[in-house]
Amino acid sequence: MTRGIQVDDLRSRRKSSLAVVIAAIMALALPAAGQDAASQIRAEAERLQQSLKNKPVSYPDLPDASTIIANGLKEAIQGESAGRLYFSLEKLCQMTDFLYGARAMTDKTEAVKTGLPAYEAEWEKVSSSVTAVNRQAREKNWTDSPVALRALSETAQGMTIPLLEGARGFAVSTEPKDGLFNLGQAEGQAEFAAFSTTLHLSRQGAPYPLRSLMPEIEALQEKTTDAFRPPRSIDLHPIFMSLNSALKQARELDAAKCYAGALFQYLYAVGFYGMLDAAPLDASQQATLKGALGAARQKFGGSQRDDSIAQFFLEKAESQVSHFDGSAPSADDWRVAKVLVDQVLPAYSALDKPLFGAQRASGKTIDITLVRWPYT
Amino acid sequence: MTFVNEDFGTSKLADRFGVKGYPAVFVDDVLVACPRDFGYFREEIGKGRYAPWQNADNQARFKADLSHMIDLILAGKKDVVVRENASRSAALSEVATLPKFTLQDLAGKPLTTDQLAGRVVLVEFWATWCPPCRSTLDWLGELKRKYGDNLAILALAVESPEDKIRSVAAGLSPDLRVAITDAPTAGAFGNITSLPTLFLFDRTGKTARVVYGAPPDLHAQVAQVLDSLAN
Repeated sequence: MTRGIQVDDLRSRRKSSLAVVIAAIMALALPAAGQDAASQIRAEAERLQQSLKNKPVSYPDLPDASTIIANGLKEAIQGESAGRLYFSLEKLCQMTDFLYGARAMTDKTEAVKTGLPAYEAEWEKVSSSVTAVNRQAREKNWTDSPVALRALSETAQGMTIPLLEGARGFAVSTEPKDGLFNLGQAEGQAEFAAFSTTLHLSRQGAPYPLRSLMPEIEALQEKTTDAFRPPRSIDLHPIFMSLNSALKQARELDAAKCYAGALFQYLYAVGFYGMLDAAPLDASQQATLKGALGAARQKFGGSQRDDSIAQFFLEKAESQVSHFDGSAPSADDWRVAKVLVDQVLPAYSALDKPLFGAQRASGKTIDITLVRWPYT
Repeated sequence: MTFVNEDFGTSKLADRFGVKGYPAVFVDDVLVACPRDFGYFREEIGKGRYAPWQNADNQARFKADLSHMIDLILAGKKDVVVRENASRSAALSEVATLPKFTLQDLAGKPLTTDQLAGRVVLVEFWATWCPPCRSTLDWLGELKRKYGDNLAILALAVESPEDKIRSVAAGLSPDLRVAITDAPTAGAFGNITSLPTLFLFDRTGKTARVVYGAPPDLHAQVAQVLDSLAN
């Protein structure tokens, strides 16, 4: 997966001179195992870049796909150079997903033109390979790995089957070619999940105490439902979609005992919820935020516990306000960074004190079921 | 009250109700809103009861409808909810009349709505890879023999290779008009939620019955309607 705070806000696209300085600092600070992982991430991004160069994706419905993927992979490499390994990994995941999706549309449209049976044959092939890759990824022992890496892998694994099934749903309900993009995405997510299990990245500090977050997820769901009223439900509809999608993923990962992935999605949801009320920042607030970023970096950098998930969101905030290309952050970039620092990181810290779920009212209950696309 | 998310593509409830798109909303096991209500998933934007969704009145209407359904179910009046939604869903999801279309049959002859005027019409959507479709196609030949010129039968193939369509058609009654469906024609018949899907239209072109899939009582259902329309 993965996503950012707001549909496009998440994409830090630029290089900055500050990033170069941070890269130099991080290169000195990272342990040997981290450097190994950095090389692996770079190598994987370069492999995809080469694949794209050798065979660009071209499909009428996605005219800019090659450019978007090339830029995203460049960002992944820039993130790695800047020492923002988790940011880089997330970008790599997004681009693997997109590349495989676009590739499936480019390469397989002709093959499925004859109809659903041809599509089913393609689907079966992808399904068996994805299932095998997923099984292998699930067997990974994460004991010595940073919880953020596990979270990214669990999230990717969790997305493969819904994407596979949704792909078939589209093919049957519309046209076979319409089920190709999601089929490719499923392959891409499985590929990323497998790649993440091979990374030589060691946990720093004591293990993070993973647990079920269901009470917190339910509490945020209730707040979200309450907030869904006009005019915000109209004006901020895309944020509500991302927020509900993150909550759904958090709930499903939690139910599957993939607590690292659930934690990751829960914090994403906190961020989306925060964006519902995020106000623009003036110059003095921007300066304050920069100070808060530095303080957070110090706090989590010096932690005796594996706080890699906090580090991931911190890297995202830094990427919002320190673009790789040196360009100035937009008003939205500042808003996103502020939400990450002022709401997501405190929510992460608050999880150290578990919230106890409210008791369900007794009496007759009914189910309200929403049939939906899994990620909107 | 429990909120449940089910994914498009794996939802058992959606399968049970023949809902092929999303979003759809169920209260317990009663379908209370489908993609067409939201003007979504191949539907015409702005045409559904709650479309466009990004509109305060439509969101309020949905909230009121949903609350009404929940209240009824909690009051033990599920039958009322089923009745209210059955009539609304049927009206929303099925074409009211024989749509206008122009196709060519497998012999290359034009096949148009106008040619069918004044006759009872049976249209079956089918595919070569759909086993139940093969048995219903054979049965369509029997119907044609029974009702003769009173009944026009069109077997419209979807999502299948032409050579296989021709191969299947070669074994069917020559009285059936077999054609390969194009997307506009399939779309004109609304959501083809399963295969086979069988439409029956009376002599004025009004929809008399739509049957999804091949339920065990398919022959009896269709015979009952045809007897009342064709005789």
